[in-house]
Amino acid sequence: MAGGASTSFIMEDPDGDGGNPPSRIDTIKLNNNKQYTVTVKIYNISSGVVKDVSATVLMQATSHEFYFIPSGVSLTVQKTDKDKNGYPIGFLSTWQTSSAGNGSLLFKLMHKTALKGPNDGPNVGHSDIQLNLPIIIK
Amino acid sequence: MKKSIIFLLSILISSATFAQVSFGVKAGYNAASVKSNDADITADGQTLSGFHIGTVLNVPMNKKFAFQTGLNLGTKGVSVAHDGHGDKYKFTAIDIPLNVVVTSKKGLFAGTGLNLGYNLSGKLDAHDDPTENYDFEFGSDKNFTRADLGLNFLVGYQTKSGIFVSANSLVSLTDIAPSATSWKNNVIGLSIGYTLKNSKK
Repeated sequence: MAGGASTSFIMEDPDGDGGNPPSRIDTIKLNNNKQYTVTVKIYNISSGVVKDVSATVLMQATSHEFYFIPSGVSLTVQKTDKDKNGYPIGFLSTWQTSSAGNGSLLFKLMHKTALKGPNDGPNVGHSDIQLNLPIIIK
Repeated sequence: MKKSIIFLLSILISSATFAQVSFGVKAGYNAASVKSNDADITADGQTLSGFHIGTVLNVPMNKKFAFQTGLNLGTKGVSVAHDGHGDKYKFTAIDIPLNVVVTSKKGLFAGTGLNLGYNLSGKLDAHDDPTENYDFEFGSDKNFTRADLGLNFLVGYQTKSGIFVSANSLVSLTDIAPSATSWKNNVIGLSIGYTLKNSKK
């Protein structure tokens, strides 16, 4: 939260996009009429070794973009970081809540080799990560 | 440029009025690739196999040289290795070659000229998950543009019976990606065809 405490929500999907369902999905809990600063971190957990691969994805930012698509809740997401071409990435974003409610948030990391533009829809390219996250705005 | 091409065509066709114009058909294999500044394609781009079918119109200019054109339908694009499989970026395009071809008495021929290409359609074929296949959008503010000007280089051999084999290289001059990424379609084609020898004007 801007100017407030920091909270983490964790999602784990050991076999990646598709296949078995995620082994852990935290419910995102937010307050109404608040603005949050959100940072996404991606980790590769293999054989008990945790490796932050966010920097790897960031190096390939010109072909990657995150999407946050709310459903059933009053939430507006604005991506605030840009790749070297000036196109949005989504590691950093601001989330503005309004009224209270329950719903979901479709979280996608799209891999869009040679297709990335300044205003792409969420279906351009193919997904490296796709998770449907429960969200509660209190 | 357009006026020059029309003028050239006019001269060629006029000079061929009394010459023997031949018409043929061909088909073959396309090995497509892409020249791009995209890091994924630079690192992991692989040849995309495809096909072409088309027609050949040969208009003699003199005993050795001829103007050769036609209408071809074929595939272009690239395969990008990704997580153990290849995602295919595939275009279906029509091409109109405008070549000047020189032919030896033994039937060997070689030529070069412009190529007028037009992308009819295109899609990302996501090999691991067909539900994520994506049809490219075309336009000046979309994924790609349709018009694609290029250069042709052609060599081949034609028998007296009219059967010919040829190899051509199509090198695009047009960056068809309006975004920051550059994208030029290149194709190596191998063809077999047949020319009808007796279609006199």
